[in-house]
Amino acid sequence: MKRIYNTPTYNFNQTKRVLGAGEPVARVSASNGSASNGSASNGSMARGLVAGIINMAIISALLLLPASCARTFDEPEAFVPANFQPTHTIAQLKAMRAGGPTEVLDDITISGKVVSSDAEGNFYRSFFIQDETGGIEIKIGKTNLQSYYKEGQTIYVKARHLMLGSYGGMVSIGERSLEPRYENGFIDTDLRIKETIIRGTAGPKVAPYEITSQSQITDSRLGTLVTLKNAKLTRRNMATWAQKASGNIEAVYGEHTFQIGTRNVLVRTSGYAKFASEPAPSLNSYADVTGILTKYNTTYQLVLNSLDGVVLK
Amino acid sequence: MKIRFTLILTALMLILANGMFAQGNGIKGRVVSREGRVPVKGAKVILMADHEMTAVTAENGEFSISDIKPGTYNLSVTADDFLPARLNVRVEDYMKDLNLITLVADIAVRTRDASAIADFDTESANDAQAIPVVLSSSRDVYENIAGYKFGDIRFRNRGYESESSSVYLNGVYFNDALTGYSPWSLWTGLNEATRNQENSTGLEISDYGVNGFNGSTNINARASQLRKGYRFSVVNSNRQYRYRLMGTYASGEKDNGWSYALSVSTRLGGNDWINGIYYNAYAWFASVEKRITDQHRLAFTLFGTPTERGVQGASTQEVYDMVGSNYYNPNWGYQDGKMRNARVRNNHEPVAILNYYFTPNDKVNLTAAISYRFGKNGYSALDWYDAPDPRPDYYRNLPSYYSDDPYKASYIREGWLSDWNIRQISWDKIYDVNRLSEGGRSQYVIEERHTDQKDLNAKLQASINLSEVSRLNVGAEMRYNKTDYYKSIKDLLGGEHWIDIDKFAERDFASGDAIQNDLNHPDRVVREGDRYGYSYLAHVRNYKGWFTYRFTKNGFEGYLAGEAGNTNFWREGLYRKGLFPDNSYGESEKLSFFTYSAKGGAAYSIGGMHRIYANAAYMESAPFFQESFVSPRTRNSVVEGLTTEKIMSADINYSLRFQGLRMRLTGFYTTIKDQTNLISFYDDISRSFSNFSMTGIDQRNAGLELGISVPLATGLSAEGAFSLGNYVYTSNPYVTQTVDNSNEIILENERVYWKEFKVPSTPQTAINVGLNYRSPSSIYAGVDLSYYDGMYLDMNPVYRTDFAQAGLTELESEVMRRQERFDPAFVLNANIGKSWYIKNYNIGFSFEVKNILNNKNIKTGGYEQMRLKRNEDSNGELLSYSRFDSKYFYMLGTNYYLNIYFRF
Repeated sequence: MKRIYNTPTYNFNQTKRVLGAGEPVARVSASNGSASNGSASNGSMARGLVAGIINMAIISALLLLPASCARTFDEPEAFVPANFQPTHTIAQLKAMRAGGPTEVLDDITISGKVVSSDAEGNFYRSFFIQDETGGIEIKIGKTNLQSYYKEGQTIYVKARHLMLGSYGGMVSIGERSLEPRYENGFIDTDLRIKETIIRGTAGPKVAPYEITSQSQITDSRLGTLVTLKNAKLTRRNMATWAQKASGNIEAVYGEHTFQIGTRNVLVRTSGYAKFASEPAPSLNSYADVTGILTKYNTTYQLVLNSLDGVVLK
Repeated sequence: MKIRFTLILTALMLILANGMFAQGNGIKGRVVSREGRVPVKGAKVILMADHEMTAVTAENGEFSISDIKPGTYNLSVTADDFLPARLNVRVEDYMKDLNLITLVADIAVRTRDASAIADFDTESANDAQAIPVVLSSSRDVYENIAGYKFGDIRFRNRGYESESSSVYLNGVYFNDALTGYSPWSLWTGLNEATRNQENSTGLEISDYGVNGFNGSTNINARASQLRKGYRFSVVNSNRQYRYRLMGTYASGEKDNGWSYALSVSTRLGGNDWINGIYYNAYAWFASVEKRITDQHRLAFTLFGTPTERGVQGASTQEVYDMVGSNYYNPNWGYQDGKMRNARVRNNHEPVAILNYYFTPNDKVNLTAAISYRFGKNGYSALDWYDAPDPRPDYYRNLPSYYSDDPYKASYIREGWLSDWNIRQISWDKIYDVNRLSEGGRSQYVIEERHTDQKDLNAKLQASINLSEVSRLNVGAEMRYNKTDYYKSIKDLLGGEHWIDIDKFAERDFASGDAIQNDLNHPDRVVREGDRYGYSYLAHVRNYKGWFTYRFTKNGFEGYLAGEAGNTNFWREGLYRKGLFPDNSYGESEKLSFFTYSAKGGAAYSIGGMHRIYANAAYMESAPFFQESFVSPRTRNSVVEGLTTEKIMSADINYSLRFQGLRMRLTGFYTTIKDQTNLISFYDDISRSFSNFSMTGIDQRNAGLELGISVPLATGLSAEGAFSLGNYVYTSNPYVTQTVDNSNEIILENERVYWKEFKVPSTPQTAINVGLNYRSPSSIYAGVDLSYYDGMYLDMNPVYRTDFAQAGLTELESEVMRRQERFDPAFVLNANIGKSWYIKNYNIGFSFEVKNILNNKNIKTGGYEQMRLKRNEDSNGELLSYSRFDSKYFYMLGTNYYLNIYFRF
């Protein structure tokens, strides 16, 4: 059914700042010189009225239309992935952090594939990307990231005016922080995210790097997806992966130490993970453990995406 | 299109460049207070460019700073009695308008700062439409004016709720069986077919029943009751819909005793004020009647109003200020270049009525009627699972969420002002997420919530003239109602299916029975058109018998009336909810209430001029199904302490008719005790529907009502309607809060300390005065002015409990409890029309303009948000609660309604 009422047509890809005050709607019938307030002013009302009367004469003929004429909308166009040429590698960007919080001043673009997921709740408000040189945490600030930034998807970060910061030896990229104890904070706002984090082509999940000996556990692998092969659980602080919050009791991180050779890697799990209450392997058992390699000061850590990353031997 | 844009942009830049202040580039803006948007004079605005640049705001709050080197700078705004504000501004090479900069008061916030009937979306799960009363075209001098003029402010006559007024259709009581609301939406668009109405005011009885305490309307929509002939009308308007076409034909009673009538109409289009609202509504009506003999008459009437329309949502003042318009609607977004509204009403609820009249002699009149209402009533909304909240004005998408980070706050503002996908719903992003989702499982869908009724009424009535001066009516009525409550998938939004589990419970329980919506069909895959989420039936039965007895004696008229009956209802769950496996599937306890009313009144007439009359009534009425269950979507639990409402009401009236002058003055006093109410809303902190069940609500409504019409000169008359009321709560009720996704009881029988607070959502003072002119050549013209005051915002009961007051200082506690009063308002309206009579044809037009003063700051309603903000210390320990910003609806600015009609 042909719609006969006035609706504005607007190109939603328009990003220029053309919206001023008021609820401007580009009127199809009356075009005001000033875009500042498209709502009824007496001039446009008179024009709208005359147009209305003329339209009414035409519409009178349409009196006997069928009763069901629901509005239909075409589906939006398919997502067009971005395609940029990165100017720096992730390792180069991380190296730019100079002793303290460092604002990126140049037009730097990095690219990497998403290797973490917050679907199971173990990651919160940030995600990791990695390229051939390493991985970095992007403190984006939003939740439900798995719905939009898929594992294996290429993400570009336009880092200009973002802040590089280090926490416990791990360099991440985010915004300026207002809290003195963190070198950088979350990006948070939609417009800023639109400017800095751009989605590229989706792809298969990244294959984790297999670690069979402790010499492979190095700082250059921080932020990347790794599998500890045949690691031995030598210590744990609880029988489940973590402890959920309940009532007045707060959530507690589960800490399970796995050993490769003589090197300890602490698998740290949040109490807000959906699998927190699942039983952890028993002491001295062996498993292949897959997750993101991180570090806190001198301790290497691993953060699981899900329990699929734990394969008992 | 692009050229037009460039022209507009150039024009804008030229206008800005030629603005009062700037020769060159710079920034300008207006500093106002956050509460009430009062301009702040003398505020110091400092821009940190390569040197400090200062401006001081003028009387109207405006300031400007010019000749600034383009770049990004810090701007600070300070003023006495306000907290300082800091922004980041980007200076371009033109005079940039920053619009409003709002400052938050440093002292305790003062409350007093200085739709036709639109349907408002209030985020609540109670999807029924409560349309305020007084819509009828009454002959009563007060109601005639008030009914029409006060509609825009959503006036409730005498402060009463919609269920207090009785609406009959062809003698059958038609108020909604589940809520008691006036059922006008069933015949909206059938104005011609429902034009023949009989009204009573206040406590008066009518020929159709004992009625309630807020008047009654009986609509005679039978073939013989419609005006004979053809009637066509074409309407153009810019307030609710753009076009309305209507055509009606009634044959009048023919010699062979047959009469029939047909009416069709359509209302289409949007409006000039609020984006996303549109009408796609049709109406059809058919009636046939036969006078079988002089004693027997039979009539059959069938009509329906298939309607699809987009609804407006409210937002906070912060949002309105940010976009520069009080008419921002958060419910829509652009898709395919068109405005797509997520909240759309879609109903088609036809009604069939059979009436039988038997008049054996001139003393007795018997009537029987059967009516059946059926069909579908749906209201759509976005539903989502494991995905970001799609609502554009979600509190984390607003600058106030970053009140301690001006850099981020300004990025939020920039986003709102430059990108429609941030400012409104981003349908693109929604489809994107669904298309990327594993296995085609939608993370966003449009759900449609249904209240599909099957409502059967049967009525028998006898009217007996016992003597010349006394008349007795007796009646018996029965009502059977079965309503199907459920929701279904309306649109998968680019995905392939949805899984029917309770996403909120899944967050807490991860897996297992607790996450199932229906244990009888776990993990069901649903697609468009499938039912999911919740499904239950309401069964309601009403039986009653009544009598009214009128008599005249010694110049006195009097009446007595009584009614007694029984209301039964129960819930029948069709899904076994995982969280409540033993209390959701199957029938609930069957509730039964004995109801009755007793009324009496007397009137004394002096000459034909004066009439003094008084009425008194006492009633007990049953609670409604919709408010009687704690969480009707999930379980059979009944509200504790459910009881009948007790109403005591009295009024005294004086009416005067003298040489064209008409006046009625009324004083009324009503107490309503033991009311029950259920408010359900979506709580985004617990991410589920939360229910507030309140019991023990008492109120007192007292006031004066005056309607007057005075002839001034030939054709010219002055009219006025005055309603001065005092409507207050007289008890501290109890509230119990539950959440749909948990068996936890959040608050149990907390006391709500709102005694002496005002009954909200209607102006307690409403005055309209006007002049009307009617010329001998059938020109009609009129102008009128309304004044409204005493409007209070709908309250969140929890703000007034001890629970919410914990940890607050005396001053903070006062702020938490305080009830907001809207500013008083003036509204100026005018109308003009002319009618021509050419042989048998009557053609004419009427043109009405409302809110000529274009006042865009008149709040007509809104609500306090139902959530509490947690204020925590650095360890996450709770310090205290505070309120979220309230949400408001505003009266439209200048709008018009042009009706051209043709009758013969």
